[in-house]
Amino acid sequence: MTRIAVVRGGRSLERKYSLLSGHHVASALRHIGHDVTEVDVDEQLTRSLEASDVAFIALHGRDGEDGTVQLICEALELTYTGSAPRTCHLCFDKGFAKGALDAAGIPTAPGFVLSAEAVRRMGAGAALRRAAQRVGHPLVVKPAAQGSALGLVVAQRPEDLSAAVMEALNYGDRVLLEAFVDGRELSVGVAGPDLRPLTPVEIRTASGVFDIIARESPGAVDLICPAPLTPDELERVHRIAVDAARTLGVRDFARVDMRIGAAGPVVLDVKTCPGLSETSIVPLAVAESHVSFDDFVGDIVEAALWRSASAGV
Amino acid sequence: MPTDDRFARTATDRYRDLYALRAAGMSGSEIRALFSVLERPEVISLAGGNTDTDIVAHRIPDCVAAVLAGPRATGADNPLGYGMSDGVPVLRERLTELMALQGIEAAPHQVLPTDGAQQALELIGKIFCDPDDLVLTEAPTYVGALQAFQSYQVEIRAVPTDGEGLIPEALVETLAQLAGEGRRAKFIYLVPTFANPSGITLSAERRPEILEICARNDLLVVEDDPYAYVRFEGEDVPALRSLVDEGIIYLGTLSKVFSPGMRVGWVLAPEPVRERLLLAKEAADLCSSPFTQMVAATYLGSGHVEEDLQMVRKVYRERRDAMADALDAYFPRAAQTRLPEGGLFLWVTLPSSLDTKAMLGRALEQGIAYVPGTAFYPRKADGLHAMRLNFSYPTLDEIDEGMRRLGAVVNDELELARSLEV
Repeated sequence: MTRIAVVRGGRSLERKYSLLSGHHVASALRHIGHDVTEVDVDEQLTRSLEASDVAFIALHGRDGEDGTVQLICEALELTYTGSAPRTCHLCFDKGFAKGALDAAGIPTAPGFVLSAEAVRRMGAGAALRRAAQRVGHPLVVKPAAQGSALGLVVAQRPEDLSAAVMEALNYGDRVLLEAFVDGRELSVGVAGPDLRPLTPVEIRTASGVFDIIARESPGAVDLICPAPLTPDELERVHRIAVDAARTLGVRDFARVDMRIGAAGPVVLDVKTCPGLSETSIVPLAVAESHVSFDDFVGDIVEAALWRSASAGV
Repeated sequence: MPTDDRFARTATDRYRDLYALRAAGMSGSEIRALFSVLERPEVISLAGGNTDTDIVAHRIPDCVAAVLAGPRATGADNPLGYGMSDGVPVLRERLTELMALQGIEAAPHQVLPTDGAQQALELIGKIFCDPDDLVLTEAPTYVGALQAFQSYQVEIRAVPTDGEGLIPEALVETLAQLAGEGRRAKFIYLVPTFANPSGITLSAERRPEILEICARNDLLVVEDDPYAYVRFEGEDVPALRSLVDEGIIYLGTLSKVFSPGMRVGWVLAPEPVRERLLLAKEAADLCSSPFTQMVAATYLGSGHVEEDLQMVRKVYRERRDAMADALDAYFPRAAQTRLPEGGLFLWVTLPSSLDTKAMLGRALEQGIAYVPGTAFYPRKADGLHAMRLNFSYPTLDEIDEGMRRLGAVVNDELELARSLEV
């Protein structure tokens, strides 16, 4: 019986979602016979990890998606699920990820990043306005390193820009301004040793924006799986999702968020630790693939153990 | 051809078509999602409305023991059985004695105990409010009242206030406007003493005038009075219900006097209204917990209430002063508050370049929580620059450290706002 520490909760503002993910994962791992302990991020974390054979990292936001807990596992030589610290770090900051994807020729929405420090100390407010003018409105303004759409605002007009930037910078030190892609919102999970794409899920909201208000309002979000796509579209979004995940060095599983506009799909975000709760996107796609969630998380643990064994750890 | 999404597996709420319109319209809030970090030990919360229950906690074991040792052969005497919907008789008696301290004359049979005053708000919504009905309130006002009434799909219209509370001329004007529109408000909801969140008290001079205007216009008054016993300075003002006994529904609670966790509140209403509230309550919960009602009644009859209230007032006054001092020390000068003479909250207004809801993420990351001002207004575009801070629950050290953190966040935010304005 493998002793698994499911790390969930944490200090980030996405704590609520992580608790739900962690509970779902822990239940699944118990169903298939593992000895599971659910642990939080506190001063006892390292001790809890030391008492385990594997860490299943179900943390969203900082500590879990920025590579912090993964680095602890590496230092302990403890097997853990998901991507390595470098990939976590890269994906956690949408600006860095966008740069890597652009360099690999993977389509992303045009945008740019500025730091709060530049705005405060270097007069970069003016640069923000010029760049926003170049990209045009409506403009998506969001923290570069934050999940669950926290701090995401669509600035419809130039006069909305300052308030939107203020809001985004309340959730991180860097702000990403990105062209709003008018179209459909889509998420594609990837999983397994060869990062095979799962069935795409389309996200529909009344406002057209999958923001925190929509996430928190009962019944305000429809997740459609499989997303209604032509065979060509399906092939394209699958290819882009896999290419994006491979480019960034994703391991085990991830979720690639996209929008499909007039010019085709563009990647918005790659989540190395996506939501895994009963109502999250990836579990929905897993169910559509006729794989039980128990087996899905069980396979992730097996892959992590195999990787450790292969590496001689 | 696209695949047909009629056959798609969806994560849509499968019960969505079944909900009543009032439930379908319920909207979420990022504040609720963010507040999941409040359970983290490093976060200092100035957000809730909790009291310092340590002040009375040592009384509880004796009260519980007395209740469990008492006679409980049948019916209303059994703290562990079902009770009567109209409450435990001894509690009703104790509550009339408590109200008498506020100059309110009432007989025990007129009092309806509820699960906190919040249940009374919900029951009032239930028996008075149809969709598109109109309810008048102060603005800002108690968020729980807004939630209770809005769940019955009413339109809430705010009547302007100033430092002395509701402005009589503004009420007259609002009622004239309504008459011009051919509409009539179902009632006006007021927290006249130490209003939540503003801390403002409707002045003694205005009280009769407001009541006279309401009577003249046949406007029912709902007086929510949770904080009157928590006055730590200044002159007492009479409860509205002590000035009139018709056209008014009075709500009381033991949450600030005894324990919010006991969930003991009550309604004093005109008899026909009380009858309907009772029927609505029967449908809602059959009865409030006889056990907690009896514990509360035992406490109220213990002879310790005044002594404990003096301690409550002393402790909260110290904490209010500590918070006001910390506001001066750590916040920019542009941050303003009006020092309340009682209650649990400071209502702080920041410069107009700051949005306290947007700022909440940064504050929580810094380990400090508050409630953004927008929560207390019927229109979500209002209250953007204000925040409610609770001083009754945190210790003096927590107040100082919490205000230091919050002041740093506010200063940081102001600097950023200035940088973006350049």
